[in-house]
Amino acid sequence: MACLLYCATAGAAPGENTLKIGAAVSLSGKFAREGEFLKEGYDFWKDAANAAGGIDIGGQKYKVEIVYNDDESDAQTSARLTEKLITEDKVNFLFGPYSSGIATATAAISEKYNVLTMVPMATADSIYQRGYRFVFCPSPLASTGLLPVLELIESLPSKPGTIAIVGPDSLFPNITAEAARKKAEQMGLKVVYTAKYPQSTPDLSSVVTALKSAAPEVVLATGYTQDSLLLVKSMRELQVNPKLIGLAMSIAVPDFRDSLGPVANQIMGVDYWVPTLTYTGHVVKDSTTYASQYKAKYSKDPTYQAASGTAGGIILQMALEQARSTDPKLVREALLKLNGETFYGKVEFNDRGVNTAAKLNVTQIQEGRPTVVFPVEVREKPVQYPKDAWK
Amino acid sequence: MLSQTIINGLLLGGLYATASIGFSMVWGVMGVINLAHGGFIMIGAYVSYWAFSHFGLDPFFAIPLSMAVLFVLGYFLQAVFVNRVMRTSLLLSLILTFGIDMILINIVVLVFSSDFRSVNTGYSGSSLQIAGTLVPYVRLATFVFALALASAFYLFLRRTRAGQAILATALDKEIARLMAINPNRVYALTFAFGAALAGAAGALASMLFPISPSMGKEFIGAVFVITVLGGIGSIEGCVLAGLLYGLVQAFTSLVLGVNYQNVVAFAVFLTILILRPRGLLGQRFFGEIS
Amino acid sequence: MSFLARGASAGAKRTLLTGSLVLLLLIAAPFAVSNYWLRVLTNILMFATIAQGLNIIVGYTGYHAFGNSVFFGLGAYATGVGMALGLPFVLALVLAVVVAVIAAVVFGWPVLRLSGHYFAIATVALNMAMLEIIINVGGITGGAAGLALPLSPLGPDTLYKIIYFLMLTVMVGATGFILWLDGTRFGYALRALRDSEAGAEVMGINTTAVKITAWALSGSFTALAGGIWAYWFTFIEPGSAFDINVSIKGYVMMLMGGMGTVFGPLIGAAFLELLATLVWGKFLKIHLLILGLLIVLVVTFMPRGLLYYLKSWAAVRGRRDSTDVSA
Repeated sequence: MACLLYCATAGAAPGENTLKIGAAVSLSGKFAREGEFLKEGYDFWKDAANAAGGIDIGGQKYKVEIVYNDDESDAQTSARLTEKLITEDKVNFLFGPYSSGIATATAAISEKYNVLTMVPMATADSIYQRGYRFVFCPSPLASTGLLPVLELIESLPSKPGTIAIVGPDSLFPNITAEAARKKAEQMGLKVVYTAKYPQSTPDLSSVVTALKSAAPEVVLATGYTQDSLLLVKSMRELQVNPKLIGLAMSIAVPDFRDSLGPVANQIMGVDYWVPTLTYTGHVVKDSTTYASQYKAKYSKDPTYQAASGTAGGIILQMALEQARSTDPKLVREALLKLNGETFYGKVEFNDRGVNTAAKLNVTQIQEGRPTVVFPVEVREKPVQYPKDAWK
Repeated sequence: MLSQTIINGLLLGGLYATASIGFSMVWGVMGVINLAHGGFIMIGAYVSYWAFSHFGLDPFFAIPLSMAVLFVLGYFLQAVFVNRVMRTSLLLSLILTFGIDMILINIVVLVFSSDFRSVNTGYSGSSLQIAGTLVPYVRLATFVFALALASAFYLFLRRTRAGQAILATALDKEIARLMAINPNRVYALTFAFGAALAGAAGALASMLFPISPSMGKEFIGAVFVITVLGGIGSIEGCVLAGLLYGLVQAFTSLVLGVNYQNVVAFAVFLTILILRPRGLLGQRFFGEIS
Repeated sequence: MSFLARGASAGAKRTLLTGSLVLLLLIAAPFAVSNYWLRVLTNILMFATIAQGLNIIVGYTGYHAFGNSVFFGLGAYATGVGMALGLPFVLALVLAVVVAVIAAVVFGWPVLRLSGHYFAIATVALNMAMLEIIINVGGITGGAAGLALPLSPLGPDTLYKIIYFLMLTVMVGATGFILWLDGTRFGYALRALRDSEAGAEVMGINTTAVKITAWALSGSFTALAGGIWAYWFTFIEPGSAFDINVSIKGYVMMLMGGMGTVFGPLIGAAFLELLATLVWGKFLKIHLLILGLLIVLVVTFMPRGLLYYLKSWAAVRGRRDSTDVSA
């Protein structure tokens, strides 16, 4: 007990001119991969900012320090960590976790302490409807998840008529699927089949059998990497050949492409970020630069999770420079006034912390390479439609 | 669609049946509910993946390798840990094996990371067409192999000395001892074989499912249901129950929707436990060691 | 074998004194430690409650309910749904207890007829089944997407202290109940049942009623812990509310401390949670591995619980009147 009391009262105050940021990310458990990407993204920004001498806040240079903790992909642990980072480690700001479910629990805590949190990868709309004032997300929200694919469909010369939407039964995919279904109906498409499968199911043959029977021309999937892989493989096994396959996540994840090989060709998906985007910004000049610097640093290509993490850091930096202070209220105001762009995309927050200027792209795998095909203004090549049958 | 559903169910069921045999035998013979069984399956899958990615070894040839690795692991774990705990309390073995499972999963995370892996052979993904239904080659092959393994193990138990020693010990430990059968050796062997079968199932699974450290957890639920449904300790029961399970899952998905699969599985499980804990083909003497 | 016989022995008096001292420290703690450690302590109290709940059905009744986390989840969801329907927090907690009791009666009647392994496994299946049911019911429970509870307007310092004291009250209630249980007819009936169910029947004990009552009590305390947890976290998901690890951890804590004793589970909970917290701070990537190792080592080498070994050590060291420890 004495030890507890001692430990409790011995918290250290942050040193002069150090900006301490806390980050509870998943380094183990089901989100470990994405958590690792996110961490690398945050670190990339930290190193880039420190290499430039630190962040300029009101004339003083601040070195960035990020305190990491593993939330084990578990909301309980993350909540505990968040409180520790705020009360024990006395961080100035927080970088958010990968999952929306986890972020929902931790946002409640950071909000209580008025600590500002940047959550680039917690995109469930429900988080931003709780009235939080200190939670900000630079990425587009879950409800917009499949809309760009639908917009692409809208732009096709000979539009398909039937559509199926499948995905795991989980917060983010549910939001995405529901929004997509509404939009599809608005567009006049006939929704012939929907399914919500248990997230960690090992077998999707029953779903795919039903898909085959419904014979939709478009199949949209809201799943994570693992189940998207399973879905595609099962579709091939059972020879389900829609004209278009669109994924809400995973299209840019290298694992996904590598596991499927040539089978992945012509599958498309929504992407938060690709190296060929043409936005420019602060700290990191543009996406091509980011990709090459990231590769040099970590010996692998960056994923959108990493890019979002770096962007989150850059946006925070921009706000800090504008606010000329580390006071969360002033930084918040600076964020609300921000109207600019980073290599990741445009930035403009509404008072709920949602980036209304964020846009998603559609990427299609063409000859093994992810290629941006939509929106037309930023595309590299035209879309390949309809999809060839499985070989 | 109906025939496709049946085929899907049967093929998957065969694999699940093989995954369950080891678990069922260990429970039947030793009275130990091995929660690390899922972990064994997972390691079997990783051995297969490793052999495939490093040496290009076809997963079917990796099966003996997986079995060998798991046999050694199983023998070691039983002799050192499970045996001690079996003597104090059988229920403690549940917690022990849970802890072992945790250790196995986290070691694999350290070595292989949590990334999903898959084994993609040239023939994976293509299917055989029979009268309008598609039978994927890989699933068919794993089905056949699974049943072959089950039969082999069945014969092993009935026809070889070692196998008969296992059955004898399950029936009556004291009499078996009088017959110069060392129960401790038998237990270690049983556990080792159980692990080996799990390894084989894992190697087969590596061809069908994404491989990850926590993949065992997906299996253990099905394994439980199948074991109890078929009758603890009965191989024939496992096979029958496995096929039934596969069919039930497939039809539940067809009729009620895929999200009801788990509810139905648990409902079935609880019903059997309450109404007929012996299962379909189980014998009284299995699983009730005091 | 009663831990606290009516004519209290010196050993029992000493234990009571220690217990009261610990209680006083626990009451004072929130005012001395940071919010982070308050959170850690609240967590310890929560697990201590869960372990005590398990103690009632496992340690005292002899029914190994590995799936007792079903009550934790039911308590969490009852509270969440209750508040979503407009109930104030305290009434929602009452609802949680009501739901737990109903569940214990409804499920206990068929499931408590099973023995040994079968019962243990059935409770796990029950836990998983409940999880699936919540997901499929959806609607007001939020389904797989989770359920958000109303946010409290209180500031962090006040709120977290209130949560702490609530959890402390429940934990003390559970422990106090077990303490009281020891000398009563009901406690006697439970132990008779545990030692020999057939024998207890012969002696005229209505084993079915006794078992179900014990499970209902066990479930009620566990459900209260779950309900408070739900409000504390403001967001619950089926996977974490019905997490089997909650049961397993509670079981290991009860085991470590000594099952069938009054204070064993508390010691086990405090030890394991503190260890987990300290280890987890230092060994980021391998703490789960260490936890697994710990479980294996505890079960293999210390199956009778810390309390047992401490007591025998104390008995050997000091020539004191050591009360017999129940097996």
